Amino acid sequence: MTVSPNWTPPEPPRPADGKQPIRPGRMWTGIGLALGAHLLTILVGWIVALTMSGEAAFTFLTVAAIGQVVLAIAALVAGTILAVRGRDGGIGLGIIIGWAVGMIISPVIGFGVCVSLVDSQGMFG
Amino acid sequence: MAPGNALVHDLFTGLGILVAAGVFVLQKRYWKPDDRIWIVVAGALVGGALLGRLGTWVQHFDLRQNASLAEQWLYGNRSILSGLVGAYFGALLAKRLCGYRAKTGDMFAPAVAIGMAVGRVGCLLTELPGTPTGGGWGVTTWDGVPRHPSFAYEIAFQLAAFVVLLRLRGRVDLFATYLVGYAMFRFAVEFVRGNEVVFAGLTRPQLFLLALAPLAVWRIGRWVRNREDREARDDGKPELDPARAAEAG
Repeated sequence: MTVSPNWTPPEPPRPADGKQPIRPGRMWTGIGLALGAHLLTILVGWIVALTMSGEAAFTFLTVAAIGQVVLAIAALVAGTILAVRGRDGGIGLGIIIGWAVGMIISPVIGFGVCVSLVDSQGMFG
Repeated sequence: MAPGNALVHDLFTGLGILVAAGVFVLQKRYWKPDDRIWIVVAGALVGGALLGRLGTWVQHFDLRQNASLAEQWLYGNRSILSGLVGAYFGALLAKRLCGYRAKTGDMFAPAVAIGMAVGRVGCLLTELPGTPTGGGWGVTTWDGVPRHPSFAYEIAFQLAAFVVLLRLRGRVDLFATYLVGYAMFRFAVEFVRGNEVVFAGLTRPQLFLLALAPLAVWRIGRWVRNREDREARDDGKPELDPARAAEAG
């Protein structure tokens, strides 16, 4: 049997549940949304800590922690629903991946902000 | 750690993740064309992120000395070892949930190795590197004492592991090989890392690795049995055990 040099592998079969293949762009959108939300929790905590009276670092940690809890619930619930029911599941998977990556990165940024707030109040002399 | 150091540390952590993602995607030719691989990736990342953050939670034998869950979440140490274990079980769980049967460890192993090499540069630049040394290769930090550059040792290990894993592809179970290699290296480097010694002259990461040793033995044993079954099939001999042969397939 000979094979034409122009032969290309056939497309893989569509999944049985009728879903479209995942589009990378939609997954990157989800990753960007989740990473942006992580940054937002830090930014909101920082702004609240700067505008409110009292110990800035404690205020920042409290607001950022509440934000992280809300974000964790929202990202995992919305991500799972969109991954299962979405057109191709790309945005949902992207949100879950982005949330997990943000979880790895954000604590050190949060720690840095916290130290800078303590420093700005003169506690390091 | 000063705020600038935190950003440097984070920058390299982020770069490490990006490089690992790039290497993972570059290995696309080894994938079966199946979108469920992204569910496995998500499972590995979620498991790794959760256990990486909570892995050091129960670190005192006297449980009253351990932080509350909220304190651990906010201020607790992060651990790459528990993160790797979390990623492993996260990927396994995701595979079960979405019914993905193909092996994925061979795609993750080189990406994890090169990602760790980049990420550890941040640790090298911002953390106390190791125990004091009289050797000429010691690095001097803010306290003026020459210390073992234990993170540099680890970067060298991860780079070597990356090259070796690429060369061994198809011959061994890459992920198990990487995990066992890293566990042995980490156990050894802990003696100069400078972490707190808590029991029998060993640090917490060393005790953690000892506790996980049976899991590594089981994983390698399973790979060896599967390979024997495959070879038996290839030689036309009767299969050793139909149940195990089905598992191997």
